[in-house]
Amino acid sequence: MTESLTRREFMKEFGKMGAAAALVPMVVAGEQMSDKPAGLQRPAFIKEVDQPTTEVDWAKVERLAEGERTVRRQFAKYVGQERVDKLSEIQKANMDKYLKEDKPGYTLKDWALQSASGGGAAPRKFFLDPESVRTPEALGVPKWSGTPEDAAMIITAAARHLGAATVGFVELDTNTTEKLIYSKDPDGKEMKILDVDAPAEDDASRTIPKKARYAIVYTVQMSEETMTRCPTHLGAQTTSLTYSRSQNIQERLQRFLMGLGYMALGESSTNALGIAPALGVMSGLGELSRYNRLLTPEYGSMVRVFKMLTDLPVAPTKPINAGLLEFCKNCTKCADHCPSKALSFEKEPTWEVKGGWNNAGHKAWFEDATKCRSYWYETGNNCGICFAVCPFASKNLASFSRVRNYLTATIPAFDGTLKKIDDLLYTPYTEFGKPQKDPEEWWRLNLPDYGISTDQSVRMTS
Amino acid sequence: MSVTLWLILGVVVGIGFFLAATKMKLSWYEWLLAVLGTLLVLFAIQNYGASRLALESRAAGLLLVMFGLPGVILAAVGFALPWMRARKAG
Repeated sequence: MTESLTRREFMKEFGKMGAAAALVPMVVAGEQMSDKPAGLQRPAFIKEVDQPTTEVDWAKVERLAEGERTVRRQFAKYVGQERVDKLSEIQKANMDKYLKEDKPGYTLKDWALQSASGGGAAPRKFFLDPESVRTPEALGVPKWSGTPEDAAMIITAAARHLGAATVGFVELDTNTTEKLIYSKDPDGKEMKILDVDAPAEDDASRTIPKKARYAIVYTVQMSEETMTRCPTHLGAQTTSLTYSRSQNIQERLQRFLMGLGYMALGESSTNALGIAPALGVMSGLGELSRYNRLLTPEYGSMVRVFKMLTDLPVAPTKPINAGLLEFCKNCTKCADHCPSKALSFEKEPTWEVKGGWNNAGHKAWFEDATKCRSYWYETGNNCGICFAVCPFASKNLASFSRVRNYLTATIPAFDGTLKKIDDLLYTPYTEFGKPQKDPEEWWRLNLPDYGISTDQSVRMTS
Repeated sequence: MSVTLWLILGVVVGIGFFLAATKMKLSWYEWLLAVLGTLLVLFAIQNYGASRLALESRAAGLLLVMFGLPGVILAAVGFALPWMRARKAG
C-alpha cells in the first residue's frame, strides 16, 4: 500500500486486499477439491476396502443370462402360465376397482402421473451411431488424453451435471468383475466379449470389445416423498421417472464419451448390460442390503443404479465399508414390512440362493422374487415398500441422521437401537404393506424439481 | 435452518455464557452441565428445524423432546445451582 493515501486510494487498496482475502480460501479449496473425483468425497468413517463387505467366491460366479433367468423376464417359467393368468385377472379387477373408487394413490391423477413419468426419454441404445456425434476425428483433433484419475474426475463431473447422483468405476477383470456383465441381455441377445476394435450388434448378439475394460457405475436419485407413498401408482411412478431420467443421462453420457473419442456402451434396455447392485458394490457406491439391492451412504435406498462400459482408462474406485451390511444384520425392517414376505429374516447373509433367478457365488440375503413379483400383480405396480421403509431412506437434513451414519460405520453395537429409534421417528403406526404417508397429501406439497434434493451438501453423510 | 436464526441463537447463547462467566461463579461441574445442556438444546433445535424441512413433523417433535428435554434440564441445573447459591449467600 502506498504511503499517505487519499480516501479514494485507501478504499481502492482496501478493496484489493478484500478481493485477495476472498480468493485465497477459494484457491486452497480448489486444490483440495481436485484431489478426488467430485461426488466421492466422503467422511473418514466410510472406509475404502480392498474386498467388499459382501463375501464373493469368484470361482463360483458365472455370467448371468438375464433374459433367461430373472423373474422379471421369466415369471411364467417359475410359477406356471396358469398362475400368471390368474394373477393377471386379479390385477385387472383390482385396478378397475381402485380407479373407480378413487383409492388414494390410484386415482385418475395418479394414473396420469404414472403414465407421464415413464415417457419423454431417449431410447436406450447399446451404442450410438458415430455419425450422430461430434467426435474428435470429425473435428480433426486428437482424442482426449489424461491420466486415469483425470478421466475419472471429468466423467464424474459430466455424469453428475447430466443428472447422476454418485459415480464410481470398476476395471473389469476376466476372472472376477467381468463376470458381472450378462452373458445374455434381457432381450435374449448373447453378450460376446471379443478382441475386436469396435462394438457390434446383430439380431442374435451384441459384441463388447475386450478393450472396453472400464465400467462407469452411477446412481440416480429417487424422490423419498413419492416413494413413501408406495405401494400405489403414485409411489411406483418414482421408479418410472428415475428410469426415464436415466435413459437421458445414458445417451448424454454416451455422447460425452464419444465426444472425447472413446467407446460408450450402454444398456440396450432396462436393467441390461450387467448386474447393477454388484457393480455398485464393487465400485464403492454402496453395500449390498437385506433387500438385496444397493444401499448407499449418501442417499440410502433412494437410488437406482446404472452402468456403461468404455475403453477410456479410468481410475477404479474401491469398495466401501460404511457399516451398512452389518446394520442389515440387526435390522429386518424391509422384511417385516414386505407384504409378500419375499425377503429373508435370517441374521446372516448366506451362500444359498432362493431360486434360479439369483446368481450364486456371493453371500446375500437372497429374495424370493416370485413372491415379490406376484404381489406386484395385486398392486398393479412395482410395490417398493422395502426401499421406502429402510432407515437409510430418510433425508439426511437432521443432524441425528449424520450421527446415525457415524455410529453405523463405527459402533455396530448401536445398530439395533438405531433401528428402534427409526421405527419410532418414521414408522410407528405404519401398517405393514400400507403407504407410510397419505398419497393425497403429496399433491399439496411444495417440493423441489423431480422431488429430489440435488444439493450434495445437504445429503452429506457427516 | 436459516443462517439468521443460527446467528440469533449464537448471540443469545453468547450473552448467556458471558453473563454466567462475569456475574455468576460456576464450579467446573456446573460449567460442564451448562455446556452439555446448551449443546443438546442446540442439537434438538437443529433436528427439529431440519426434520420440519424434510416434511417429517412427527420425527421433528420427537427429536425435539428426545434431545431438548434432557438439554434443558442439564442447562437449568448448571445455571440454577450457582444462582441459588448466590441468592442464599446474598
